[in-house]
Amino acid sequence: MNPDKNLSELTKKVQMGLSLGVFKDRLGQKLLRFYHLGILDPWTIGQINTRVDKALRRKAFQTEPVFQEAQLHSGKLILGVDNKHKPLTTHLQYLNAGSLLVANTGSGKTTLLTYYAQQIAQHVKGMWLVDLRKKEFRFLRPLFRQYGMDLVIVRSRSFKINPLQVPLKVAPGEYAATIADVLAKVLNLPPRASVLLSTTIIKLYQQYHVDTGSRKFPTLFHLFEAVRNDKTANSQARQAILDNLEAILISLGPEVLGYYHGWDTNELAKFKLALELTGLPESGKDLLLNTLVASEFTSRIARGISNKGMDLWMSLDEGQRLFSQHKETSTYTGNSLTDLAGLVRGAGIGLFISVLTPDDLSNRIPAITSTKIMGRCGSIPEYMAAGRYMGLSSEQITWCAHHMIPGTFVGQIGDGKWRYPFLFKIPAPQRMCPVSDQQADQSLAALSHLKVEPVEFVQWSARPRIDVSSQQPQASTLTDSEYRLLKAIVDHPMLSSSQYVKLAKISPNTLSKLRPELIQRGFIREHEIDSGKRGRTKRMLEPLEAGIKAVQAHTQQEGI
Amino acid sequence: MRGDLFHNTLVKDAEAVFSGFGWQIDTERMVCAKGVTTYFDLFAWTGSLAMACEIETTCRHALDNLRKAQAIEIPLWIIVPTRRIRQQIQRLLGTEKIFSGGKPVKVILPDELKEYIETYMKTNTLKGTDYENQME
Repeated sequence: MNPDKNLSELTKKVQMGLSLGVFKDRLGQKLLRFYHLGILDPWTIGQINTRVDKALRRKAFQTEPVFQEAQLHSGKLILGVDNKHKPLTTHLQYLNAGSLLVANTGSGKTTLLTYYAQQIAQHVKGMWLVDLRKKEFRFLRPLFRQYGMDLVIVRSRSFKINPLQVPLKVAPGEYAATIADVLAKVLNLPPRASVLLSTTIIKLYQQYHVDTGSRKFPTLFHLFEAVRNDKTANSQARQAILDNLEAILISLGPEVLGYYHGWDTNELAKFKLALELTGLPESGKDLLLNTLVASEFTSRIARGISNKGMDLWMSLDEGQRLFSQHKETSTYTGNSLTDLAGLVRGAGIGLFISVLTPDDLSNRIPAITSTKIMGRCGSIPEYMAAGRYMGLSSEQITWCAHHMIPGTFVGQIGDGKWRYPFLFKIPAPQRMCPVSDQQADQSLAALSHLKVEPVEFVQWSARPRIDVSSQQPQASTLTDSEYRLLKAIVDHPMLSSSQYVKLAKISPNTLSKLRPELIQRGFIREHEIDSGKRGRTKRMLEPLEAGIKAVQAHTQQEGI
Repeated sequence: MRGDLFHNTLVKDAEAVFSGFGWQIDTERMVCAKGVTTYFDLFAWTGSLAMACEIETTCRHALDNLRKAQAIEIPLWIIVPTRRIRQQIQRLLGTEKIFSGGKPVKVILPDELKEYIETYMKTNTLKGTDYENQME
């Protein structure tokens, strides 16, 4: 039975008028009130009819016939403008439930992200803008500075992360299980290897007294060594861990992962960061992102943060391969980041994922992101797939396929009263000043106060080791870092090589590069002391006569 | 001390470990016993327990050191920095257990010293020669 049959013509007109938004002005509100009170004199009826008919005529002839006029006029976040150039706004906190942006290359995806980032940055404590393929978020640094905010640019090799570092307030045993699960997924380990990984992490925590409160954590390198030395373990499981872990350790190296204590994620969550993962292998990106998200998430849960407002906004640009359906189905345990993406909302972390195409996008991503935005896509099937995420009709999808241009988007807000798809445009991109790599590295000074305890891994250096040579020392000048290292060795001889990282104020990577060079030039000598147990060989550095003279000469020359 | 910087660093480290257990230490101390006078890198004693330690960064003088320890009948531990040197010295000493001062000669890594002292102190009673009185 059609319920509309019993309604009067006037009631149907009022219903239509409400959906068309013709009663929003002051007189419109009065007319509605008259209608509800039954004051239906000819003038009132005439006014209602005229308004609705006029709106219907306008709708019949307008250029965007298939989308409703957006009724989004409250909140602080400007989504864009409608076809009358009126700003469409929504509440910032609606983005906490996750957002998905699907748009082809050149359609304004990054422009939209930067437009939102500028606005959101002023209302959240932390912001992580993750550039998975490009280096575009760094251009926001000058803009952020205009607003009195500092955007720290972390280049792919500047991360200082220890995935086995237990986050703030989290119980080590609990975190061991979480990180083992994450690593098993990142490394794509079979079930038996996952169990071995989990038990090895727990043993390492005991060995390093992490379970009794020590804040010196084993690293992935220690994990690798522990698995390698565990001869009693199932050989296939052991080999699976070694093969997969070695690839990551070699690609990221000690400069990224060689820290007993890396950056605390709860500290990073207080910063606006542009995280550039360009140039890293997919597994490396996966590991870094999973570590950051999993640590922060578990820490927030342990701190009792639940269902709070968004105070960390995380945007993942070009996340196509990271959230691949193929990757999810072809692995043993699925995609860890997809799992986490569904959970972070409750902990006040808003996730904004942008992808080029819905092809091969994990089925779970549209399900766990409530706000959807679609830009210009490359083909009709892509419009259909992306359109289905936000409930577009076939008419609307066809319209999009023929009319979408760069800078135009269809959106659907995941929260609030008005949830229909709507059309909007974003302002043209602002002309941004370029930011060089050097400037990017300088921005890292903001993180210099964070506690970092490096480990030096001689055996993990990508460079081949150079043995002590009997050649005469070459009379050559010292670079700044060479001088600092050599001076530290002369001033504090016979310390273990890792201690010189702090003394010389150089990175572990620089130390591992310089040490063989200084040995070859006859400035220092290296002595090995084996550990009584299974630990690594300790290397002690002794200054030689030539090295002492070189330091003295450099000091005189530079007038230090 | 007569050794190079590395040798002397190892002597100092060993000295610190012995001191941690309350032993008295002398480095490059002349030891006269049984009519023989010799020098050891490290000579440690506590009560009636005594121990001579030689730091070897190569295997060249291992046998000489063994002979002088055996001549004055004092337990000897040879401290070496790496497993490779330990193997070389153990090969020189042969497969048979070698004794000095009635105790087996040990070739140990610096990290193992603490554990060895603990075991030595547990297993040895305070009987025996009072080396303190014999030293000149």
